[in-house]
Amino acid sequence: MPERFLLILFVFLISFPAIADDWDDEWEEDEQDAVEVHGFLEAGLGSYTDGNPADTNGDFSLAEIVARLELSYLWSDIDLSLKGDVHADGAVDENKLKIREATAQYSWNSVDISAGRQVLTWGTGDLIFLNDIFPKDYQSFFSGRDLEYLKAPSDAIKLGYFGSAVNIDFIWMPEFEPDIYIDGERFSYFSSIAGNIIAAPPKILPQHPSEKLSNGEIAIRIYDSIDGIEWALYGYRGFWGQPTAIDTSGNPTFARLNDYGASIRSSLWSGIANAEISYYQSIQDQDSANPLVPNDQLRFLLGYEAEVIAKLTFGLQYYIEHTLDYDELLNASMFPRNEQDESKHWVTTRVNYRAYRDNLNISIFAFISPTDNDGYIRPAISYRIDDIWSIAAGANVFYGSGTHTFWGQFDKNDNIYLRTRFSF
Amino acid sequence: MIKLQIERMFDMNNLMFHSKQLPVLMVLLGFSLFANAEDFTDVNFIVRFANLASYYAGDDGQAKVRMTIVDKNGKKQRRQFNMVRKDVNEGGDQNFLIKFTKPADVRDTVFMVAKHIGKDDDRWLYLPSIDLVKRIAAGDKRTSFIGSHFFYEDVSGRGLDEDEHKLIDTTDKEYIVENTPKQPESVEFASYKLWIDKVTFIPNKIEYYNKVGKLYRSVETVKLENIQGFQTVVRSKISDIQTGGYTLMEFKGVKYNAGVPADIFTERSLRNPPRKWLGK
Repeated sequence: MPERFLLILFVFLISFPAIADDWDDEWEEDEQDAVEVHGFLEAGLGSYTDGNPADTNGDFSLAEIVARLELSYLWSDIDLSLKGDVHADGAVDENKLKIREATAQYSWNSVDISAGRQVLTWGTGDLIFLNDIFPKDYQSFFSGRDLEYLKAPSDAIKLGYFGSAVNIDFIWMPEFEPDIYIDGERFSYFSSIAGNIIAAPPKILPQHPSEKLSNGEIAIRIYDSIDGIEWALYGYRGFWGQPTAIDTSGNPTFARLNDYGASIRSSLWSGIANAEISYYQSIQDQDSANPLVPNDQLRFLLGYEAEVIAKLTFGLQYYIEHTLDYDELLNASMFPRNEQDESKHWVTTRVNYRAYRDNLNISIFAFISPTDNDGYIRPAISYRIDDIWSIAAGANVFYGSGTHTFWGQFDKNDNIYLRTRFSF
Repeated sequence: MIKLQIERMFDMNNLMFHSKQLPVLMVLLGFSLFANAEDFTDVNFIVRFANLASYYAGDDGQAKVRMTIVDKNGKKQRRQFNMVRKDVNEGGDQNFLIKFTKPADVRDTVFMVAKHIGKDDDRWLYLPSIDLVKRIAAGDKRTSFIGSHFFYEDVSGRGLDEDEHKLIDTTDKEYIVENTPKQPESVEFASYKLWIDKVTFIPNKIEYYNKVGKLYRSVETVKLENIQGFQTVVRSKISDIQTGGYTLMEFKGVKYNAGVPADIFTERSLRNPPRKWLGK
């Protein structure tokens, strides 16, 4: 398989047209009636640095070649788009075709409709999601893949209405799509039952909600902008993205979740400020006495980002996850010592520096929890060699004083990675 | 006489006069030159008019833009994008939408700017791969625009109130204006000079000098075209004299007063850019 990729790569390299030297070379333009073809080839390599017990080949946290193909075509006012990855994954011995996007999009007066598989994102947080309940891929996030892979696609129909007073997004996902969560295969985690950090085998194999219409997901956003102040209200009916509940036969499963929230974002002084709040209603546990289902939560986020000196951006966020009916939770819990704090606080910091006309990007993003005494640090460096080649390197570092806290449980998963991408 | 009329007309209406008068003004200006009238001497008039001619042609505009970025080793990069602009008020606030078509790794990225006079611009970026509408903090306007040697401020215009202007010479063809920043610590230059064409009021050349008076950066108008009565810079070159790199910028398919609706500068267009204005 890798040999074939190299061959394709070579053919692209020698056939890529050189840019002519003067003003008068022809503009490369996409033809109106043609299928546009783009994509990339990427090789990624990463290694655990702390003896992670996870079930991958050798110490590889990342060992893959990805061939991305993106096709788009305009068919009588309908935008058709198809994006897929051929993914040869040496870390877990898996070759897969993953469709990232397969949509038909149409606009009619004040309505946009987009149907099919698509990546969906909203909300104001920087790598913290409150009302964005669309699936996330934490395995990709922790292993140093490109940031785009943090968001996993959903099969959905999205309707956008753009009115003079407000705009409304209505999204229907007929089948529940969970996060790609940490299941022990690539990354180890803390198990309350084992009382320790464990890894696959076996992987977590949760019970999924049955495939019936009433188990679909619905997400709504009502939003607008007044004088540069963006506000939004959110609603969601579906499931927790991770199998944090336990069903009657003792299997991990996804509990029902409703979310109600709001956000605001505006420029402030020389930067951007944002605030977001959400109420997670865990409706299978309204008396909070069921230890097998997560409790309701209130989540708060405040953020600010500014370019403090030229090319250097600094971002700061404060996040609180407050569990409701905490006393009931502790009373009912089988492992009260392992329950998260009533109020979990996080501070995140982002430092971004751009140099060489933005071709070089250096960043450090850190999640730090003063209440859990743990954290997650993501240093990264990327360099755009030219319009075709780019490289990226970085690390994922987890720390914590306890093994059961949110970041502390991932302590053994520290890794470093290097990626090279060829875009066409 | 005509000159006085124009200056007065301009002053009376301050910056708010309607751009549809621009071609009329151009004719008057041309006539005044033809009639061998006196030169303009009010430097504030000259720079204001140059600003309008450079950045405010028509009430709206539409173009395809291509940049060729060449570094000191001769290595080239390309940027290509479709752009649409609508003025909120003449000489004042403006809205922009930019959709990238090349190179592959930034294709379909959309950039929206609400340019404000006297306060920071609002800027948004849409990253299609993660469906993310990112709001960008108002940054230093004198850093690379999309990886080129142009600065953000070269493309969107620099606030006239930010510099002291001095008319240092008037030649047969040009007004030569020297500009010094009111807040020197906020910019990398100590001064810059404009060579403003007497007929078109488009700067033929801009040169930037550092603290020791050394030329380190220049912008040249390479090709000017009359499009719908508006003199339009369709080719310009910016040189980083210190490092030896340069960027060529070309405009194609320029259209003014195309009837760009005021209500397209929204999140909807970031996520789903209107084909009519920003292409397929």
